[in-house]
Amino acid sequence: MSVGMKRWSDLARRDFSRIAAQSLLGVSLVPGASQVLAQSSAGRAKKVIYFFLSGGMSHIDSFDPKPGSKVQGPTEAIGTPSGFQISSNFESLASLSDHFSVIRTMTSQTGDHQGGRYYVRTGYKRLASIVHPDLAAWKKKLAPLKTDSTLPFWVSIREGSFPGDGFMGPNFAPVPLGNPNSGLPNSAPMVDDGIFEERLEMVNTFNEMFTRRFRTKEVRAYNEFYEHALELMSSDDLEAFDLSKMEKSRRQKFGSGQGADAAALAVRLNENDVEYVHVNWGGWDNHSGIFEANAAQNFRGLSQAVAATLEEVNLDETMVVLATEFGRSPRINENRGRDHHPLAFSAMVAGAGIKGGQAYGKTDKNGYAVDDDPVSPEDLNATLATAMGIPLDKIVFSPSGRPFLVAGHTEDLKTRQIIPVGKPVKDLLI
Amino acid sequence: MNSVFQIAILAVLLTTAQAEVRLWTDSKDRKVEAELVGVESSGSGPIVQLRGKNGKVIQFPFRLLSREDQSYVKKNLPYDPQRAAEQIDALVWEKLRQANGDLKLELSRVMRDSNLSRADRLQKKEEIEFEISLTHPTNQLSDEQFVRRVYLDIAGRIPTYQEATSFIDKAGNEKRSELIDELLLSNAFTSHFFNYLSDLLRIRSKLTMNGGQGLHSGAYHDWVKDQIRSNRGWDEVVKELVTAEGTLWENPAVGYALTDLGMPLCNLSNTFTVFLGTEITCAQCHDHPFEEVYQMDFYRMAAFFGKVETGKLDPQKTQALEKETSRIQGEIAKLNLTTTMGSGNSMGEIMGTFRYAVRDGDVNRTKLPHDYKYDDGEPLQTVEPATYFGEIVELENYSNPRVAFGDWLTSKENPRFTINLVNRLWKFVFGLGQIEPVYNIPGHLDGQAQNYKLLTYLESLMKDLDYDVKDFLRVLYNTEVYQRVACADSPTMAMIDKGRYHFPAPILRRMSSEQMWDSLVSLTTESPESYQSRVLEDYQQLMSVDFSTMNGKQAVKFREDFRTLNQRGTGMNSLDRRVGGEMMVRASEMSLPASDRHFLNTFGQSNKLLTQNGNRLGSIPQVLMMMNGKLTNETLSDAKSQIMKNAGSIRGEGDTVEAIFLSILSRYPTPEERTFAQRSLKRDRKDESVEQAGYANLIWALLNTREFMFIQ
Repeated sequence: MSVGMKRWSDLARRDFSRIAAQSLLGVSLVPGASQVLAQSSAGRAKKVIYFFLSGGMSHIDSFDPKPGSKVQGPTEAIGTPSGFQISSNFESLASLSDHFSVIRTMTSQTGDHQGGRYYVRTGYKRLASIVHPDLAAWKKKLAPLKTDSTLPFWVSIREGSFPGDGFMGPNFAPVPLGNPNSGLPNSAPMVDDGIFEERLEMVNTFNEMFTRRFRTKEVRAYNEFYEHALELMSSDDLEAFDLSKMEKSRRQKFGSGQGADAAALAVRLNENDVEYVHVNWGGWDNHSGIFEANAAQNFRGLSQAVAATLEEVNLDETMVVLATEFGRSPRINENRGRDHHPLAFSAMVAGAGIKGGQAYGKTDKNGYAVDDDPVSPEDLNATLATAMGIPLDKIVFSPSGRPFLVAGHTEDLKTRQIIPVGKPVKDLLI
Repeated sequence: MNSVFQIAILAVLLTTAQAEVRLWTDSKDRKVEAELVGVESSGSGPIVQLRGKNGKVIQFPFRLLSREDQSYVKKNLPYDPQRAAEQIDALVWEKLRQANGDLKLELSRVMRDSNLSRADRLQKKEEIEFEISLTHPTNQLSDEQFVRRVYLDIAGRIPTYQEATSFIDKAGNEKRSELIDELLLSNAFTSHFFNYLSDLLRIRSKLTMNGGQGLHSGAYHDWVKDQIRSNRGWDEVVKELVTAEGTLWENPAVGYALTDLGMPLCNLSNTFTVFLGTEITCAQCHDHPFEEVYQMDFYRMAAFFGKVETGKLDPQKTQALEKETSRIQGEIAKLNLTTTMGSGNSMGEIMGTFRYAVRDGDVNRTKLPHDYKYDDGEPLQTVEPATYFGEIVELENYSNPRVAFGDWLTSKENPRFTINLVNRLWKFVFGLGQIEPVYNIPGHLDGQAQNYKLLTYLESLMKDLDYDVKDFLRVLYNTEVYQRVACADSPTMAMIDKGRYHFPAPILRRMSSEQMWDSLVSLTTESPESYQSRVLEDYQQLMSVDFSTMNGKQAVKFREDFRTLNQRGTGMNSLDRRVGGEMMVRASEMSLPASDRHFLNTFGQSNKLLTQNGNRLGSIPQVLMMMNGKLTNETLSDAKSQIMKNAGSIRGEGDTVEAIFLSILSRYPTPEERTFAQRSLKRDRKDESVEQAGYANLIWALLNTREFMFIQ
């Protein structure tokens, strides 16, 4: 190796970031985006209930049946009052079709579960250098619900916390719930009230010396977290997590099983101003036996729970979403199952901000590829974001100074403008 | 290049030098048998001190030694951590004094400034006075504070009751530096520093991002721990990480490249961030907006790895393996096993692990992206390797471009390699980098660093120590500034950003999630480091099996062994380590990252997907877990828990209170605290459970104090 210094940045980074930040903040609205913001649906969806069907739900056996085609298999297609067909598995949903719209032309390139889920939920493809925030975190950041509730803004049921807050940090993270029937974890003392009081009194005494000496914001933050947590523990709001407090007749509408319980809890939390609830519903990775009784039961159970959600929740202020990481192959494999198929799949949207009663987009005769009106994960997020009132062109910087938008971004190399990738599907918005 | 003399000026005669007796030759070919005992500075250059066979010390000018001897001296330079620590202290105090003087001048200028409104002046005054307060050195740590801090910072956990008391009761002037030495050599340090590296390098239990079962990478974890244990030079470790070839069991260092399987460009970005403190990710898609890094530069750097293939086996081997797999599967099927094995445990999956290897192919596949829009290249054009700063690499001297990259990256001449390392280690010890953020070091450091002179000194010190991380840390822990009580106030973001926090002491930090968890482990178990998840050797042995001679029965056994081994890698079969229903082993020996609902996750453990994304921020779920969770209510107060055993074995209420305080806070209670705590301990010789309930309350209360969570 020979030593020779090549060019090296002469300018201090911070000067640059200041200049760059100014120029970025000064960008004019991208024409398409500002138009959409003018749309009347913008911001109607104050709250969201989001069913995520992990494993990859078959589109042909749910929202995009292909009657008469050899790929259809034994599942039948049934009509709806709105005129489009859905699978007979979804009978409970059929009569509510005026309330929801089906997107039949979801399309992506990612055939692995984690990567597919990540893409659909964040509007970005997965990278090893950043974690993008879930759409829920974007809502909290840019279009939060105004409420006095002491409850967390985002609860995710039967799902981990990934990708969660992404680069936005723990204030934008969900509270994950494992079992919908066991309430908010650790929200009640494990000892009698009297002993608990006694313990708290000790903590206060032992804290005195330390908290007097150290006044950093981190220490003060913990003092406050303790206060808030104690407030929450004695708050009536906490009952929102208690499913047993739900009227029996009402709860029965959702059906039985943990998925149904999760949906019922989602509605209960939603009514108590939990802004965003994810219900993770698994069992869709049907590589084998997709037409067998237990697989069909999963479809029917979901249909019943989603139908009950649409009926029980206030659709004027709540949007209900149903999405999955990819579809399943039209070809029925040797194990009577279907394999991963990101090329074409379905989603469903309903409620606040959404124009119901339609089947949007068209796949080819075997449901293999998208014929018209493709909807990418970025487009889906742009549509949902618009209904929530999140501006598509509002840049949020990661701590490392990289710019991001709610529905994906690219950069115009000439103008250096950051441009949204996702385009909202106007037909789906009011 | 003269940095060797910088330390020479500091070095003194070492009484503890373990130098060897060897033959020395001077430039006039005169020879003497002697050992190296020290180096001193003089007006005409460094003087080497040699002790001859007769015990007499000879002074010899460095420049008159033969070349070979000179390089021996450089390599074996006795270093005195105490002297280097004093030098750091001197530079810190100098900076603090200077800043204090400047701030006072600024204050008097502001107070006289008639252009300022009264309100503005008062606000400015307040700001400046706050900054002035952070130029005053804080108090020296007491022994109680020292033992707790140094255990948390080096061993990664609080000291046990015995460890705390034996240090506090010990006499002697050297006891602090002795403890530092002892801890740096301990398994506890390996565990703690592994957690740090696991966060930095995104070391996780299962590699690949393609879903499925994932590849268990315990062998890589063990390798990293071995590097820490044997204290191999950081430059060598890094070089091996970026150049390793083979499977995980042949060469565990490939774990670094496999972490970003199928994403070589991201791997490059991460390499720059982690080892050079340079953020070039954005140049993957476009020219860097703030710095002089062009998109072409990114691809030229990426091209050093253009021939690397991950996840691909040579076709012949694949065929052979597939043939064996289907034969063995057939034989297993014939065994008619009653137990059902899911597809996740099939032989195919195990054999698939052979594909996860790093190999150097023949063809450079680095191409510009399809939408490349600058005029210095065409879309999809192949790019040749070249560096864009630092030394120019002469590729013709290398058969493998990756090795050229490794040399360039870790060279002492690389302008960022050493700075990045010392800055990150300074943060590891003091809680904040000399330059923040640590992953984005600017081109010009003067004025950006909190103490530029000190940073320059640290850089030369690291080079002199030949990237010996433990020796470097030893120096930092021995400084007076480290051994001061944390600042009562934290510096503002603006101060940090402008390089105006000059380290009167380490900053006050909450424990990391691993430090908290490992502290709970040390409270509940007798010997916190006794469980080691090591799998490397067993893995190597298992995977060296010859599949062609394996029958169905052996395959079933093999499959079992494979699974057991993978579980051991994540501490899963350490059932005997359960206390009150929780598996109490150190975080470094568990699944990485821990599950979503585990204590470690709740308290901010990194998800290992991004470099250094563990956090120490608070949240309500954390506090709820501390108050109402199983750990603080059942595990700690379980009869098997060490702190309960300690408390129960001590007579006298006052002594029990003391023991519990020493166990959790590593200090004696104040008289008020003692009285208060004693009231809650109810003695009932007939009913032991009453007594234990009292301990449980006190333990719970101390764990819920801020003093427990924070490192003062």
